Amino acid sequence: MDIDRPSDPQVSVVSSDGTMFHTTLKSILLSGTIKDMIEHIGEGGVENMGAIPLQNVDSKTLEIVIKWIEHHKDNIQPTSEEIKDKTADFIDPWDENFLEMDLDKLYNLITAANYLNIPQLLWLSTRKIAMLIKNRTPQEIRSLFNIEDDWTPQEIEAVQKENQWCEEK
Amino acid sequence: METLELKECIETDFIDKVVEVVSKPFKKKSMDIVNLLPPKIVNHIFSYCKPTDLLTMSLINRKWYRFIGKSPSCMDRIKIVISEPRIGCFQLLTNLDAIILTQHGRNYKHIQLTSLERQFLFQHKLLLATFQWETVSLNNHTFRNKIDFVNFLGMIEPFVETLTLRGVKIAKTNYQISPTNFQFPLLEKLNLINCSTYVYSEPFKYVTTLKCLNIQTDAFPTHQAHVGDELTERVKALQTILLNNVYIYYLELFIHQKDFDAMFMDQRFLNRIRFNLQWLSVGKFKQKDNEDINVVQINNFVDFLKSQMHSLSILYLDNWLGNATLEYAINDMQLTNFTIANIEPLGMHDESIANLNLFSNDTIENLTLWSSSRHQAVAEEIVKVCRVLRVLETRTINQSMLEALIENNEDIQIIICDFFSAYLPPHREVMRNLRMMKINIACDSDVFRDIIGIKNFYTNFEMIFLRAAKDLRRRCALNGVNFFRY
Repeated sequence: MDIDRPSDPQVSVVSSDGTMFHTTLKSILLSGTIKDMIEHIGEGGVENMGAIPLQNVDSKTLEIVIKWIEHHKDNIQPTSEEIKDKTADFIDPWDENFLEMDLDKLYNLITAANYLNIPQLLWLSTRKIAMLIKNRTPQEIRSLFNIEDDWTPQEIEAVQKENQWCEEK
Repeated sequence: METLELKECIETDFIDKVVEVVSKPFKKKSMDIVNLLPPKIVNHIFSYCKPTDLLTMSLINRKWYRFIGKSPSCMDRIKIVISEPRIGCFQLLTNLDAIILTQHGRNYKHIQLTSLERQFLFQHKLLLATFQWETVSLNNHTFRNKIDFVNFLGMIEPFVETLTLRGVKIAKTNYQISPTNFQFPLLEKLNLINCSTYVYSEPFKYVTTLKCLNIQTDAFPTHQAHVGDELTERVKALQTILLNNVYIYYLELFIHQKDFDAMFMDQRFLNRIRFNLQWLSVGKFKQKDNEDINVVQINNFVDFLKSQMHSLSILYLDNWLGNATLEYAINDMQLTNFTIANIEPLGMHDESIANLNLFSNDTIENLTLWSSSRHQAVAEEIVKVCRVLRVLETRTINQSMLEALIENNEDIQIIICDFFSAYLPPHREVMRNLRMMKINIACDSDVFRDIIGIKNFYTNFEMIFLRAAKDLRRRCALNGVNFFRY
């Protein structure tokens, strides 16, 4: 199987609700999961391969994912290990803009990026949520995510007291 | 009867459904990440948050508290710190505090106890006995006797992976207790810093799992009787630990001169060492007056280095250990990082520095040399032979050092120094890989006026870190120029 040929053949993927999307091999290979699948294809090669079914991703999310991988198909993708040591907070403005979506879509995107194993997209989207909850009071996070407060005043006081003994390791 | 019950059942169910459907539009949908996303992803998100943020987030609700408190990756970044008294105010751990900490459901893994006000009380013992501590650090504590100390170790022995005992003393050592039998099956990092002899000699004699070991020792108080016996006991204990642990790859030996001498006098001990170090730091001893012992000791130390030659890549020497050590480290070893924190030969070594025989080195990439200006020449000699240097940290870069660098080290990327007194700036053509220069104290020359002024002159030169930035800004009157204050 020859992934590195200069031409960039068309590949189709099918979402969980049956919608078919067309994209190119180069972009779809950003997904570790699909790369694994394609690498195990034997005779016939990519050209004769049928559409790839993605049972865990719905059409709305898949559309977003494809938009992202097509934009990034020519960039060198860092491995998950490289992302782990990432300290720089620099984000491509295109990505910043791309991630402006409501929480519902963002959660679906995260789940999809996790399932499809696209480390860079997973990093971007989870980091986006981390940025949302960074430096906020519990009440602010509660209203952000619409979470109910089920503590009693005594309990919350105890947790505050507990936190006083804790520090960063 | 039966059918009626079933009917009732259906009806209540139905009513619940109706209530749910009717009330739904009025209730905003919860977007709680802890509920909606898989735990693996939530942990991933939390890994970008600061530990202090995690503590605040525990206050959101019970589910968040439980999630964070039970998540190993979150609790790995939080430790309990009990420091009595805290600076300025007393904060003693009370019984109630201990009960809160132990019964709320967080799985703590790391604890640090510093300067406890009294002996271990019920609350401290409750805390220590409740969790499976991975990291325990006990600082500045004097146990009443050996039994108290052994009891403390008994509480943490089975699970502890990193143990630090700093300034742990035992007040009454005069009565004997039966030998301990601790295994510490998971212990990988052990730091024993300035403790009583018993701490070195007894509890760790059966440990075989260590990977990182840091030992520091103090001089014995002069008024103490039987100093000789204690010294023998301590050195023997250190040797036992070193011989038992074949997996050690990281070793810090900041031991007192007498321990060092006794340990490295013993050729038989050195021959029996079986570990392969990657990282070695040695320091904190003074030169002895007796030259003979000194020579033997240093020759043995070089032999020890020889035995570690194939694995060792990082060597830190706190003091000058003679020409032989330096020559061996540079000419023969395959180090990548080499530090001499103090090029300050004393006594007999003063003249021999002129006889230093350095050939060439093509492995050291990070070099740190601290010397007084008197021994600048030695630093320069070392820089000249290191041909693949990438990072250099030193006290002074004067003109001749700069020229040595230009001539011999074309790969250099980062220079860190206290003083920069060269009058000609590094030239682009010969230092084209230089990316960063960090100068800690004001420089004597105006070199940087040019560098800052023509930033484009240096293609790869991205940043200049200067503590003296303010001063320079004033002197150069360069307001709009981009450089970063460190």
